[in-house]
Amino acid sequence: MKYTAVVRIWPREGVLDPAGLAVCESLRRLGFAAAEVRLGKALRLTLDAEDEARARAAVAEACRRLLANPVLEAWEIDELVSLARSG
Amino acid sequence: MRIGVVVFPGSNCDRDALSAIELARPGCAVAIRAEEAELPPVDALVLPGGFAYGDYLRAGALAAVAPVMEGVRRFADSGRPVLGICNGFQVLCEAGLLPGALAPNESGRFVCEEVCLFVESEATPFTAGLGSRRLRLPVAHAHGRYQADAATLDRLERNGQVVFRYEGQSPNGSARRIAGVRNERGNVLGMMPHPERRVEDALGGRDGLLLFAALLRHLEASA
Repeated sequence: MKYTAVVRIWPREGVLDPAGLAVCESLRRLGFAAAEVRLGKALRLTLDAEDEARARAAVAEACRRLLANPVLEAWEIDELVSLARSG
Repeated sequence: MRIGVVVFPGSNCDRDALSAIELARPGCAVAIRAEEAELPPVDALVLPGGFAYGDYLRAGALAAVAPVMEGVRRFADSGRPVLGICNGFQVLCEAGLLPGALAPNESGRFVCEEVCLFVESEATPFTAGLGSRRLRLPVAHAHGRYQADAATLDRLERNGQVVFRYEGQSPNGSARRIAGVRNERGNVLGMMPHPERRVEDALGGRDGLLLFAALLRHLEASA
């Protein structure tokens, strides 16, 4: 089965995020009442797995080993869906 | 005696590192490509500065899983000297060979300036005999803010693993003004400033050469 997962990665609470601060500042300049912006990243990855539990475990392992740095970042699997077999 | 410089796609201080080593001891610098799974026979390794693999995902993250890193890990585990400079420091942290991580500078800007460093540990092959010195070296980075949790920072201080500290204000907002750390054993050192860019008077000074000279003394003594 093919699965597609969306992973979101954020600067951890308490970790200074200069890019988020800069974006927040610009939003305020435009008149938006933005109190805080945290700039993270989102990845969509497609993988083969036998079932959803194994797909989720593989994505979590990818986050731990490469996608996120635990000193600076927190991650979450935002959605995990199976794709209909193609072709 | 051979000192290897690992060249990642996107490294840009590899030539500087090779020529700094050649200045310290002609004929001993060796370039090693990051795609090589096996290291050639070398006595020490340098991971140079730059933007390995474009610094995609995070600075040093993709380089940390490059083919060469298995060999680098075994080399480090065997107790032989490894120096990571700037991007090389980021790679060593991402690979888990050094504690902590390098976050974006507090200012949100790239910094490029000369800094003064205290040498706080002589217990590395690169700083033996330099304990009483202050070094003037350049920094040039966007992700140099050293971060670790408070318990880790306390442990590093207690063990003397903080090797370099910025004098005065840190250029990047580093925790405890840390500019360089070593592993527990002392054979792996990472630093944000660039010693390879201060190896002759025409480049603004020779403080950087002291680290390469110390390494050569160490290698000679242990040969």
